[in-house]
Formats: sequence, structure tokens, C-alpha cells
Amino acid sequence: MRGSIAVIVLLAAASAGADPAAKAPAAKAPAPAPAAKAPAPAPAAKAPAPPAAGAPAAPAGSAFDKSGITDWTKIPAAEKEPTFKPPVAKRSRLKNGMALLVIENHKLPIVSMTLVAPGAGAASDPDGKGGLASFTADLLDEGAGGLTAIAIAEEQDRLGANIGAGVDVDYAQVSVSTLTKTIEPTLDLLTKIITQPTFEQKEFDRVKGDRGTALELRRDRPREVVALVLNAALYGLETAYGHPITGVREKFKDLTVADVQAFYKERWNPAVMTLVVVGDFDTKALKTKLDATLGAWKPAGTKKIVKPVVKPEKLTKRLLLVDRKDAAQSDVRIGLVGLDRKDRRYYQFEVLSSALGGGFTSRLVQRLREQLGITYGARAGMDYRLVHGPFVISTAIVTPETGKGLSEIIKILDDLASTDLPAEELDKSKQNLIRALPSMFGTNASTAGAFADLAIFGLPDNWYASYAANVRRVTAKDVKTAAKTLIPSKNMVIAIVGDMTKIKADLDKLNLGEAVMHDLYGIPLKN
Amino acid sequence: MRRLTLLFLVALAGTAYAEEPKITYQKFDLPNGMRVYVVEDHKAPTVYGVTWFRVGSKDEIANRTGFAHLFEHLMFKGSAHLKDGLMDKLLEAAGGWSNAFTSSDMTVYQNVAASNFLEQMLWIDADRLAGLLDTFDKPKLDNQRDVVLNERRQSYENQPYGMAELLIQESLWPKDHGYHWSTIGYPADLKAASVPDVADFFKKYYVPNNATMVIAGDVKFDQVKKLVEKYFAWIPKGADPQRPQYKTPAPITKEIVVNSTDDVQVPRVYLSWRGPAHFTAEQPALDMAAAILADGKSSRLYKRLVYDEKIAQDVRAYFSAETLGGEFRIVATAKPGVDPKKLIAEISEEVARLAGTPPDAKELERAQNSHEASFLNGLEPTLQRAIQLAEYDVFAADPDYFAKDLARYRAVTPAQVKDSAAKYLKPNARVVTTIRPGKKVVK
Repeated sequence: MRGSIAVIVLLAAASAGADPAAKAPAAKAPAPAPAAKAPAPAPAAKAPAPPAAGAPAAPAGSAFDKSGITDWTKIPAAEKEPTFKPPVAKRSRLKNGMALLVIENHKLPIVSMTLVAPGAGAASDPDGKGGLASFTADLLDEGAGGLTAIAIAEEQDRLGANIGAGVDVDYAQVSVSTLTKTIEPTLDLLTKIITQPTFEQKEFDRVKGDRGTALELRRDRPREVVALVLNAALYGLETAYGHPITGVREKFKDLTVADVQAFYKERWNPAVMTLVVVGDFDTKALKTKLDATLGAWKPAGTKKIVKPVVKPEKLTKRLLLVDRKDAAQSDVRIGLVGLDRKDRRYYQFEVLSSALGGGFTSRLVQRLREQLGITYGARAGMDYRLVHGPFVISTAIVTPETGKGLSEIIKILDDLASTDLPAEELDKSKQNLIRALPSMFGTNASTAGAFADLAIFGLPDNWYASYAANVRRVTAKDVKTAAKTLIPSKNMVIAIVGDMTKIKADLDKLNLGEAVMHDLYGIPLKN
Repeated sequence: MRRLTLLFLVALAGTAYAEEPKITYQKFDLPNGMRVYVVEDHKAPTVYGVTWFRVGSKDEIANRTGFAHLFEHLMFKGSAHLKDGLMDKLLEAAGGWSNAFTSSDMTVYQNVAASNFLEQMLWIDADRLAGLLDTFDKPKLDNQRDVVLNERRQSYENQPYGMAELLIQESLWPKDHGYHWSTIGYPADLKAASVPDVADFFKKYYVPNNATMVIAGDVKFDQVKKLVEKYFAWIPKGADPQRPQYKTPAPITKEIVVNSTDDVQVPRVYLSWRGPAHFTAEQPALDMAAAILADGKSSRLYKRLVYDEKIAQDVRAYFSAETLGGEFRIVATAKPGVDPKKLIAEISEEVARLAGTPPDAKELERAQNSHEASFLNGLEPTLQRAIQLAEYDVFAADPDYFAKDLARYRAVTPAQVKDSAAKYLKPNARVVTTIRPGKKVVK
């Protein structure tokens, strides 16, 4: 599942919140924490200990006497566990080799599609050309098939369609939502965008200007910078997995139209792509239309998807700092190089992540937020990839408590690596994952994404059918072993953007070794 | 923003396509005044519970800004028979979660769980509605006050341009109006909130007759009715909340200019106007005006400022409205080296052009189609549909408003767009806010 990419993205989205959004509502938590689990911990609270609340027994003479329910203290039992069968996708192939997965759902007159192009992601950026994959995806709808960028946008509005292309590390993706009644013209438009992008110099220059400015302004977004710092430290700033997906300003400016054309030609090959279509349509009619549009696109470019070579950096220093004067909070990322998507320990890490930082009841949230009140939220999870993806903990801690917060996180990690999860916590963590599975298929778009995800990593279409059984098999010992082999605090790299005049002294007391200072863009400073 | 419009009414022949959406529900009222809707949707074994309380930051009293939202946080800290944290443990073990949001006019709680945990979910919600104060104490308040102060830091203070929203509201609405302050509140007021404040607020607003509940998902109406009656019907009705009343503010007749600085590299400008309340006849026209001006690449301001002249990095416009009125906003970020005054001048020209000449029919049609597609997509997640139904009940007093909501956006004419722009988006009725690079200013 894509869960862990969401870790970082969710926090980023939460931060974007205050921005242009009108009168953004305030909420209990950054994001409706989808998955989560585990009862919690642990040590004493800074605030006076939570009262002996919760203890059953309604206060004598309480209003509840009038409820007619004799025993309010008794938690109502769950009814019989419902059965859930994940949707089944029908698989076929278009004439040009593109794989097609379809699921009909006639609830609403709408359709979602996800097209994935393995090997067209940021890990394929050529040396010294960081950001090229993502820039190529951006440029697809900036002029294609005889339509200008503006005409393409207007046509989408007219059709009630939305077509967006972007990249992750291992792949590029095009997401489409449209109305059933305009599915055919939407496919025509999609085909123009993907198969006939013009990459005109004038449009290239304009979009490059916008992207260049966005990279200049990265300095203003500490949450983006701290993620970049961690990632670069784990994998190396110039490497397939270590460079920022959108590039860095110093290198990005050298990209040319020829670079984009070459990347597109080599990497956007229908023969290796998978298209997932979910919603209100007739499969036969859809297939006919697809064969005449996307299916008529001639395969070209490379068929071979080479796994990127990922060698974790040998780190001698693991504390990475960015000094941001007057920051009200310290943005923190703690992580290490983790697993590939097909690792057999996947389920063990899902349970572990859930217990550590998956939801409100996770150890990180319980301790840092509900007991200490030093953050609004914290999350942890693995970004599984083709090869070793990062395991990341993210939070933002109020400036004066930064050192305290870090030492608490370290304690929580070491505890997970040394002590079995109590049975109740293990069970809740597992049940949360199992019972939340249906929500992966809550919309056409999320269903399409769930199946596209399998295609990217070469997992079978029926993977979700055995998900619950596989989670059930995880034992407390598995979780501890997983924690021991990977996440004890001594292995982890810590990146912080914050006001060093206020936090550095406390950080020094944690004995994390010598720090590497970075500039406000997240690039290491030369001493 | 919600979207509507089906212009392509041509049905594709001979296939089992879905009809235009209608939301099927059943409802009942409890004697204590709580209204309950049930939406059966068996596509997944999940149940969604939405409880909408008619209270928001506009109902706060002097020196207690931010309180409605702080209070919302306290609803998750346990109650008579629920130890602090147990609620989240139960719902997360049931494959779900629990959250809420607060705005000027509403506080909306959401629970999600596997459908066989319906009774547990209702027991939890009844316990906190009937017994929040039984175990409430100052340590809980102190803890969530700290959390909310951190939410403020994360979402506003430590965000680029994050304080602009607060400045705009202060200028757009007079001091004695409930929209003058932001829902997140001011730190001094949050710090002043006391245990008695919590008790007063709870007793006044958290009464069944001030709530609408929607239970949606894999449930049966009869089963929901039986359980909701069991857990909620006995809870006594409260007095109708007597909330602060606000006079319609005197119109702004002279442009208000607000300047501030932030730790950013380029200026950003905000042009803001007051508008009509939600569910008024003029709301759809102003939504369409916003879309035509600056919603996406096909909009006028994007084309001019970003695409052609390259003087803005981004631009967007939107209209948002609640019960006492709306806010129309245009936001643009300058390219490095561009004088923000140039952005303000060109945005003003485009606003004046729309206020003077009706948009082309095709241009409006695109905005309508795009709006309608978003509306339909927004109805897809069961939880979102439940929240929408509650909103129609509370604000439109009409749970069957889905079709009307679609229809009122379809019916907008080019002349109405022009007229609404002319009426509301006057140069002398606006607040112009510019955030320039400099020191971050937090208040």
C-alpha cells in the first residue's frame, strides 16, 4: 500500500492548509489518520497524571441512572465480523502491450483512471539532471496534439475532467477523473496529452521559469527542506533515491528541451505501462475505445526497467541541522534506509509502524501529544520502493521542547526494539490494519491507485485477498525482531530545521555526535 | 467549494449507467430534539458516524477566541465511562478513527469503524454527550491547550504567509462581529480558558437539540434507530442555546489596506471582499465568478498574470460562505522582483472587466461543468456524503437539497455573474493585504 508515502505528503498537506485555503477549519488532527493502532505506553506524564478517569463506575447519582441501561460501564460487544472481499480487477492488454485492469462500479456516473509508467520516475533522472523526470511529466499538458496548454485546460473543464501527471521516485503516474458521459472525449484528450506532447521551446521556457521560482522559494518551506535533508543524507544528494524529485535550483537551470524529449522518448513506453480504470462504464465499449486511442500508441523506448542501484550512505555524522531563526517549532524527520516493497518483512513493519506512529493511539502521538503536549502530531512509516525505501518519523515540536521531544522519541524506539508489544497492543495494531482494508477501496480513484500500486511493484492482482491473513500471522516477536534489526535509535539519522540559538544546547546533551549544518535550502554547508 | 452541472445530458444508449445521484436516506427525530439520518450504503463493511453541532467560533464570548475549537479537542479526552484515550483505542482497533473540525459556524465530529462496531460507536458518543464533565479536569484542559497552541504554530505561525488569514478576517469584519477572529483564536485567550468555561460551553451547546447525526454505511435503518434510541433518547433536552447575536455590519465604503511581513522571499497579495451568506441566491454566481477569474489554468487571471505576463508565480480565487456572510478572495504570489502593486492593479482590472461585461457563455459553461464534476466526485466517499447531508439539514433545512444544489449552479447566467461581481467586488469595499519579505510577525 502507499501508506507510507502518505506520511510525508500528509504532513505537507497539513502545512499547506493555512495557505490560500479560506478560513481553514481547525481540527483535532492534521489528517484523518487512516490507519493506526496500538494502545499506548508508558512513562509518566509531564502534565499531572491523567485522572483516574476511565475507570468504569459512573459517578454515584449521575445522570446515567436515568438511561434505563443497567450497566453503562460495559463496552457493547461487536457483532459478528463482516466478511470483506476486495474488488477483483479484470486484466487484459491493449494492442501495443499496455496492461489494462478494469473494475465496473455503477454507483455514480463518474470514472477514475490511473496510468502508471514504471521507470519514468525520479530515480531515472540522468546524472546531473535531477528533476528531469518530474519536469517531463509536468510538461505533457503544456501543449499537445495541436492544442495549446490553455486549450487543454479549457477542454478538461468543458468535459468535467481532470487529468494530472506527476512522478514518484520509482514511476510516473497520470491520474484522470471524469464523468461517464464524457469518457470518450476525455480519452481522446488523454491520448493527445500522453502520446503527442509538443515540448515547444516557448512553453518549456515558461514552465521552467515557474519551476525555477518554486525551487528558489523552497527555502520558505521548512517542512519540505527537512524532508530533503534527511533523504539526501540517507542516500546521497546526487543519487537515484537521494536527490529531490523536483531537483535543486543550481542544477535544474541547466535542463534543456532536448533533455526532456530524450527522457520522454526513452521512458514513456506503453509496452511497460499499466492502466487501471474504475467506475461507471461498459468494459467492452471502453476496450474498443482504448484500442483506438491509447492502444494505437506505438511502443518505443526502453522495455527494460532496471532497478536503481541504491547504496545507503556510510554515515559518520547523523545529526543534520538547518538554522531557521525564530522558528516557532522545530520540524523533525528521523529515519533510515528500509525495505523494498516485496520484502517478506512487509507485514511486520506495517504492524510496527502502526504501533509506533500510525494513529492517535500510537506511541509517538500518545507520548508527545497526549501526555506532553509538545506537538500537534507525529507519524511514522515506511515508504516501500523497488529497492530499499526510507523509514521515516515526522513531527514538529515546539521550539523549547525540541531536545526533550527527541529524547522521548529515542526512548520509544529503543523500547520497541527491546520489549515485546503487549498482546493487547499487538492485537489492536493488527486489527486496525485488517479492518481498515475496505477503506482502501472507498472511491474509484483510491481503488485504481490500490491496483496501480501492485502493478508498479510487480505484485499479483489478488494481493489484497491475502492481506488480512498475512497481517494476522505477525507475532510480537516478529515486531520486536523487525524493530531490533532496523530501527533502534543508534541506526537512525536525525534532521531538524529549527532555531539553533534556542535548541542547540539541548541537542548537544543528547550525545548525537557532531552535527552537519545545512543552508536554508537543505544543502550541506562547507565548513 | 462544491461543484455542479450536467450539461451533457445525452444518455449513452443501452447500458446500465448510473442515474443522476440522489441520496437515499431515512430519518427520525428523538423526543429530545436530536435529528438522525441513516444512509444505507453496503458497498463496504464500514460505518461512518457524523455528529454536527450548531456551534462555532462565532459563538465565542469576549476574550475567549479559539474556545469552540479548543473545546472540540476536549471531546476526545474521555467522559463518564470512557477513560482518556479509550475512545481512540476502541475505534482504531475497529479499523477506524475519530476526528473533528471546527469553523465559524459549526463543529463536526466524525467516527469511522468496521460496521459490526456500530453499537460501540454509539455508546462512545452518547457517553461523551451525556457525561463529558463527569471526569473532566484541568490537566486535560492544560494538555489540549498545549496541543492547540502547537496546532496554531504548525498551521499558521510556522507557515509561510500563515498569519495573513487572521489579518484579513480582522479587517474584513468589525470587532463586534463573530467573524472578526479566526477559529484558531489568539494565544492569550487560549491560555485564559478555564475549567468553568468548559462546563458552561458544554451545557449550553452540547445538548441533543443542537445536534444533527448522520449514520452512514453498512447498516440497517431499523438497527440504527433501535440503538440510537437506546443510547440517546434518554439524554435530556437542553435549553435552546442563546448565542451571541451580531448586527449586519455596516458596509465597507473605503478600501482598507493592510501590510505585514513574513520570513519569505517574495510578496503575496490578497484582495478580499465580503459577500452574501451561503445558500443564498447569489452564492452560485459568486462561485462562478471566482472560477472564471482564477480557478486553474483556464482562468482569466492565470492566463494574464502567470501564463502571458509571468509576473505571478500563482493566483487563485474562491468564495466561501457561512451563515452570517461570505468572503470572496483573490490571492496571488509575485514573481521575484515584481512589485506587488502591479499585481493588485492588474487583478483590479480583471475584476472590473467581469463586473462590467458578462462572461462568454462558453466560459461560464466550462466553470459550471468543472464545478459539477467536483460536486459529483465529492459525493463519492460515504463520509463526505454524510457530512454533506448534515450540512443540508442544518443550513438549508432541506435534506433533499442535493438536486437543488446541482440545479442552482446549472441555472447561473452570464448576466448574474456580472451582476454579482458588480454588486460585491467593488474597489472601495475591499481589503487589500500585502505580505512582504521581512521579519515574521506573529500575533
